[in-house]
Amino acid sequence: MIPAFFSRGGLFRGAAAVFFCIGLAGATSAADMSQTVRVGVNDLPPGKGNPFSALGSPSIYTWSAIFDSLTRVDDQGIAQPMLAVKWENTDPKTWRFTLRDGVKFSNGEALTSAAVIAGFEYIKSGKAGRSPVVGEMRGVTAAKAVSDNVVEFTTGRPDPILPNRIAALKLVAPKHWAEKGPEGYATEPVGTGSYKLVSWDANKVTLEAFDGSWRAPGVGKLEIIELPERSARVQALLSGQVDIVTGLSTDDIPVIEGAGYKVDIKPAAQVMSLALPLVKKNADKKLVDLDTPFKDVRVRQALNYAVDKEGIAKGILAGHAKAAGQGATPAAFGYNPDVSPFPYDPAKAKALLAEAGYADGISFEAEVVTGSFPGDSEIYQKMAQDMAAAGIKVTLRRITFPDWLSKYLGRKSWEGQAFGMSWNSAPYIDSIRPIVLFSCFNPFTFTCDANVRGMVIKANGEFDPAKRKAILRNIHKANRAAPPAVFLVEQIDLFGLSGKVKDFKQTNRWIAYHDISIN
Amino acid sequence: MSFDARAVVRRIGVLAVFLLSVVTLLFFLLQLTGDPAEVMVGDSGTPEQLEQVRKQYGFDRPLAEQYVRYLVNLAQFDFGVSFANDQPAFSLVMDRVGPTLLLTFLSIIATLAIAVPLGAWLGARPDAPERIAGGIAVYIAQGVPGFVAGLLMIQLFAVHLRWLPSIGHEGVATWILPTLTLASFLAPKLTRVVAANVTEAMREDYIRTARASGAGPSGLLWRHALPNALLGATALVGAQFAFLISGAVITEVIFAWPGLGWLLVKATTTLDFPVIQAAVFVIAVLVFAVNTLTDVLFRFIDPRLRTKGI
Amino acid sequence: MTTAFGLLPRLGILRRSNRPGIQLAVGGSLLLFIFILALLHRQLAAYDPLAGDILTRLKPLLTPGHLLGTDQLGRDILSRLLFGFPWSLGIALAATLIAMIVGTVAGLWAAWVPGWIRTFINRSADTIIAFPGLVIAICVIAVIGRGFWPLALTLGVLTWPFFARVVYAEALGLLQREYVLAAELFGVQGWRILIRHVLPGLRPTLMVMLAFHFADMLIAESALSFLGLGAPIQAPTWGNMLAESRQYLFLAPWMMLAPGGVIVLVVVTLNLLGDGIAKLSRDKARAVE
Repeated sequence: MIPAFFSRGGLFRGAAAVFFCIGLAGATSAADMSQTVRVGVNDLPPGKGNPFSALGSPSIYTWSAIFDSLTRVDDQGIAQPMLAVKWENTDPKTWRFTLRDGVKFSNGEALTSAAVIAGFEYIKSGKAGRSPVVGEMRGVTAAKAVSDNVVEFTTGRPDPILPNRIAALKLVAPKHWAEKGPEGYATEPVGTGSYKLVSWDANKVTLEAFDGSWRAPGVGKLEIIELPERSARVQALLSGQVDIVTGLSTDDIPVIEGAGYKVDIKPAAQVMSLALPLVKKNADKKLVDLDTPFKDVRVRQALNYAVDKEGIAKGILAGHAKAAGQGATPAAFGYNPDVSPFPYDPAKAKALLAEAGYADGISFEAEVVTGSFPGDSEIYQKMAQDMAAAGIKVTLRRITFPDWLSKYLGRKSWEGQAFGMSWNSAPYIDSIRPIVLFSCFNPFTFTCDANVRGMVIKANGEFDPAKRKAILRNIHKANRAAPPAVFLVEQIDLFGLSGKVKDFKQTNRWIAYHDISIN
Repeated sequence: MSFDARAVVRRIGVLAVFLLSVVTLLFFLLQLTGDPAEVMVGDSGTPEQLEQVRKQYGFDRPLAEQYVRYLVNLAQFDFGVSFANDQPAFSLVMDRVGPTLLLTFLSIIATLAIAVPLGAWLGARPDAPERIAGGIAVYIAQGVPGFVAGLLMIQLFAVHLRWLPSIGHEGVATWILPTLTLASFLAPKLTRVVAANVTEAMREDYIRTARASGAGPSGLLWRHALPNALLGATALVGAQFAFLISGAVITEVIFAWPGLGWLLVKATTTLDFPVIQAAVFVIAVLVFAVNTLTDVLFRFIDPRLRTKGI
Repeated sequence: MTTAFGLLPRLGILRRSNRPGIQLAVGGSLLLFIFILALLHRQLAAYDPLAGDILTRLKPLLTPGHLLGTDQLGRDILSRLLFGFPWSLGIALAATLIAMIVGTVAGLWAAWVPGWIRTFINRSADTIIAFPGLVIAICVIAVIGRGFWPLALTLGVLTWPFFARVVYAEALGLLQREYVLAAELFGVQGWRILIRHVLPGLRPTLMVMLAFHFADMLIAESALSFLGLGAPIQAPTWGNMLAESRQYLFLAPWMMLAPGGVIVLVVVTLNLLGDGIAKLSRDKARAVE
């Protein structure tokens, strides 16, 4: 198609790589072994040290100390060099990545193309059946080593965002991997990251600086401690037992700041919403229309008008989050800045409902999972309160995550008419991800809009980033006009930091451990 | 007591039946909780991936076949590997047994250390005004849920005073708050049992006889009334052991204590069947062992039972 | 394994005797007060327990219009507390009755019919007691969802063995009494003997257990809420309120006071009553002797 354009993109990214290297250049001397950073996390990686067993949090809190991938997606949705320093399209279906020179794994193995191939082959082997990385690598048909430090990926159809997508594939030391396999790797992980494992206990991971890392840290020791209870995490921070805690809520901010500690607040790549299902898969695996009041677009609009999203963002999330009007956050590729949230207008909601023939209001049940985001339980309850004021009676059913999955994946049917759903652009921070997931292309979708479907096909074949962005923006516009969900708020991630932690940075929950210093 | 070989064999038979019923009940209950394949593939899974995972783990086989295979594996002590991390489920569970038993043991000791003297004091002269006030305090303590007690103790001793750590399980200092939290559940109950028993025992005939023969009041309490009260304490502690093992979960969550209860909750919410099965099995064996121990202890403490040969 | 449990009632939880009158009087009047609040909760609550104004969230105690303050959604805590009476007391009572009825029937049956039925019932009780309650709680939620009855059922199913064991041990003793043996000799039907002669003998024990168990169930409800296995999300149960309040331990510590205080009040009331009844029946027994 237009490969020339892509090498330009590659150049631009190369420039970014230079900056990134400078950022890391400071950490050349050996780490200070007298210093320890303690991190209190909601959960340790359930799959322990097998880097293919999960994506995102909670695993990422621990893995970002140990593992690296070829690229990492920054908070603007752009792929940044990690173990790959540059990449280019040699033709529309081929991506060629050049590896960083002189990188070593913590067991001494050198980073070569073999590391990439080892991980990729495992993902494609069929033995990695349940790994979420399998889904992320679905469109990639082959990987081959062009030379010791150049790898080439072939995709089934043109894939404009493979450099973002490839961030899901963490690199393993190939010999160690061949020897240990996923079971052995779980307890003896080896990576190129800042820290290497000392011990993996039931609720604590102890690590020490890997001075030979390409991103060697300044602090000698790192302990990651599982503290599932949020109030206990806050207490651990306030009592000086940990230095960093994850997964706080906005109501913890005044407490932490009041005690002289700091908080780190960043937008998450997720939009909280209440999905309004219109279709479901039947026994023949075909999508059929549901008989629901949500069929009428006016009802869906009314529900959006009925919720005071600004009130939620200000009242519950203390102004740190923003009201959402689309299924993407500003950082995600394709976010449409011109699509505004539905204003809070209960009168209009009532009018729209009346127009649609529900002058007496409607009532339905919504199934939600709570405990995944700051204030989510309160947000759903506030949503229900607002809707009640507009004549919409929502009964919230709190369900467990496995139950939610069973219903989402279609084995069980929803007992309510609506359900809580997050529009998640992670891991590659491109809004195509939730869009495809909630479109006719996903057999488990809850909504299937012919208009959106056509645009998704176009976006998937579009290599020109500007044109692709325009298509995605149009999709968000279409989803605003005929909303498939009640968009609530753009979610945030909140970390608490003790006074002695300096230079803490996290992007989409990936913690830059190498930058952290302590005074 | 004498060791009766037949009794031992019978006891083993009882254990076998007991374990079989526990694992059977568990197997069928787990079928109701959901499909682990769905949790494994997550929300971005495809139908093909689901199919593959179900096949890989044998979830596509008929239930009866799965059950038989489960029993056969159990008979060989094979609990399989965790769905989450491929580690042997049994060893994941055994890693937690030590900390769990430690916490349980410590909290029983703490409970006895609080409840026996306090109960004896309250029970020896139940009508004294300061002891009535003490009795009311015990009632109130009984109404405070464990997590409230735990969080308040952390707030006071770890956050404000900074005397004690609230996380970890290495070193005596880290044991104190979790132990007290767990003991705060059991101690009020036990205090009341001891108090009631002491009051009662002080009026029993043999105490009256002892008093008539010139024993002092404190001698009466320690030599006669208290041993009797301990009998009740043993019964209560034995009865609560099952609770302490798996019910310590709230304490474990708050204090990051790597115990069985929290492992079980996590495994249950992620449908990690092998880990649940191994954990429930180990808990059942522990409970059985402690109940047997309690029975033996009972006969040891109370000679009347020995002669009756219950 | 039955010995320890069988002896439990004989070991003195149920006996203590010093002036049961005061305990019964105090406990009884507190119970009456609680009962009145439960009956009149609608009339007494000034606000809808589910509605709140986000602008007036986390108001402290004694805020004008909100005696006990407001919670994280600006809901009136006093109103939620009042609406919590039927919820929390109802769940605890229903759970206790389920446990008591199932446990009594099972215990009596086991005492009456030796052989495999007795073995089966006793072994079932052992199994349930050793079985982690959380697994059962999660199963109930997965199968029938959350709500009043699922919670009552979970707690009832988990705790009937405690009643069964005590009833079994007591009933075995009662069945050896002369008048029961005499009735049997005269050919009175089995179930009649159980109802006419054995059940009345069990009544004091059951009443005491009812009070204690009720109190335990109230605490259990809040423990389940802490673990996210409690009542539906908006429901104003005391357990939910207490579990939610823990996240505001620093910012709004008073949120814990109301639900915590009322749970303590009810637990104290029930324990007073339980102790009082136990002493009363004990004194009666003494008087007879």
